[in-house]
Amino acid sequence: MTDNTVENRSEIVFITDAQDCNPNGNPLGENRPRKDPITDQAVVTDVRLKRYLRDQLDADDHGVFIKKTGDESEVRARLALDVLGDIDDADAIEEIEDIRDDFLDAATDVRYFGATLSFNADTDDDLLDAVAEAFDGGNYTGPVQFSPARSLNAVEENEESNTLTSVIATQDDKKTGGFDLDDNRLKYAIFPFHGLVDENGASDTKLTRTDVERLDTLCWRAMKNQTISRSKMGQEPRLYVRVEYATNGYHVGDLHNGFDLDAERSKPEPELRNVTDATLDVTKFVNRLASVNDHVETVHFVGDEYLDVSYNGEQYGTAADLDTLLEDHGVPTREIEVYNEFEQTLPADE
Amino acid sequence: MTNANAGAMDPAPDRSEAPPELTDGVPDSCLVCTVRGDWAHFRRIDRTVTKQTYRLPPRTTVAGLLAAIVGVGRDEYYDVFDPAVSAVGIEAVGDLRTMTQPSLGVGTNPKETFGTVGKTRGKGISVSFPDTTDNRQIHSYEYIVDPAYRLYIAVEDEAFHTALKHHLERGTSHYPPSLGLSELLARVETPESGVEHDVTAVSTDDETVTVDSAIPEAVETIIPSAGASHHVERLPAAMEADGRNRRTTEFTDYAFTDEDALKASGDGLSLGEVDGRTIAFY
Repeated sequence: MTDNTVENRSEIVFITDAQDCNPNGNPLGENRPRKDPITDQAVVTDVRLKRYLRDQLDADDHGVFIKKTGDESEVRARLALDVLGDIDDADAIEEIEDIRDDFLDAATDVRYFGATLSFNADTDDDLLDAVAEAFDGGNYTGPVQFSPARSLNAVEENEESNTLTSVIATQDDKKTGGFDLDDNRLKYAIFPFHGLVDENGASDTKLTRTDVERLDTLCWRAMKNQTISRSKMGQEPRLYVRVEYATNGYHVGDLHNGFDLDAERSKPEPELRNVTDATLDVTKFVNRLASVNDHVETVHFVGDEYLDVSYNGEQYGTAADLDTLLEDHGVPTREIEVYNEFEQTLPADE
Repeated sequence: MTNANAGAMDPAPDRSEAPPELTDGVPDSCLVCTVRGDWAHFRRIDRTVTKQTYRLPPRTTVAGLLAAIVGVGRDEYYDVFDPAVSAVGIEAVGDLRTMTQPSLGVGTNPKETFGTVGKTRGKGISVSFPDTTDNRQIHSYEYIVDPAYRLYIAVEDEAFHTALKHHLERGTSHYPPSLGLSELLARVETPESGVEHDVTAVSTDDETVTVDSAIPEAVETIIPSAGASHHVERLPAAMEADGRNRRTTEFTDYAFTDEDALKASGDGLSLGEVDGRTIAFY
């Protein structure tokens, strides 16, 4: 056990918003923004959020196993899987474990979100058993999980620009742009993502405390840096809280449900166009954490100054002031300095 | 932790409590909790491309969820939930609306999108892994929206019972519980009246009983009444380890509804009363 072991459970709420964009198209629905047809809430899947996080890890030069479609696969050797082919003896268990460790060291996203591998021994069952055991059977459950998010508001789609003719070729070897591409966008949506860091599952993928701390800057930067394509621009991170718990095995379980749109201080849902039209009611979140503050080690937090927050029916300030509000209720906080801290979590030069 | 063998299952090693005892499938006490989430997906085992969901968590899934809370690994809890020594009642709370979400995933068909490295002949290991730069496959997942289920749990295994009770009382879990897929995070609520409740066996001689929980073995027992709708699903009920995998050894048909309690003939059911509610255990 090293001192970089994940010892505490963390529960994450990551609030983002989307203005005049398509935060997550539905591939079976003409790529229209995903929506709950009954409530008209927009939906963004965990898969979409994890793509942003993986792309940011890649941009930061961390090894990533689940690559962008079409990317070169030169990383495969770096991910150490090729080397397994040289092993032909189950007694080489230490070597197999070294390869496993190299793989997990190199595949940052597998440490967070897990992966599935499969192994086929040709003749030697002992060897297969040894490899399968070293690699946890090839099924790595991610110790970091995010649920698909549903917007706090019912959303509307822009009525204009229903189709678009692209002047940019869609593939390298084609000269002509695409025609009749659907371009459907939401006017405005605000999403609370809910995530969890499982301290007991962390050892399976060798997730480290440094990895967990990296999330504090990664989520924010990914939403800033990776939402740059035509349909994805307009998304911003608004509030990130990682509640690190002190009590073994304890977490509240639905912290994201502590956030509502303040109906009195926000424009009516059909008129929401911009973050300044919305006020986030944080009353339930603050009260809930205050009621369990014995279990809370620290709330790591970063908030945006454009998003107003209210508490107990009164305007309190902006999301950037949430730490003061939590401290007033006896909940310890630590403000994340995203752009000062992230460099410490980049890969070390070798 | 000083004793590594004590494992995750036993957060209070000195604590000893009497686990429930089963008589004709009805326990004399049970643990009660409600699991909720934003989404659930209990994949039907008889579907392939479209990942359709059961509306009710199969008993085997409930067992897995409780094993996660207690911290027992995969393949290590099937005996605890053998129907001969355990009883589970499942009650759907709220409506069970579903919504389909397609997602683009890395292919999992070894014949199509996997890359392989390693020896192909003679001694050696070959590793197959998804080619993560290849085109993604569309998988359509049917999710239950805002699922909530009240669970009534009785296991005769003392260590499991004690550990589960302890975790439910403290609001803790070894592995975080989820509803069918690891990303569908769940929360667990316990009744204000406590986690453990007495169960009074309900005579099954009566011609008709009103049952508040889902009703197992529904084809034989459910009594339809005018104007009341119910669903019936055939769910996996028990499983066993099978080499590297596991396999289902029992199925049962469950009838359930999000409306008023259903009527059933008591014959063949293991019915118990918990806090004035009639629960069918299986």
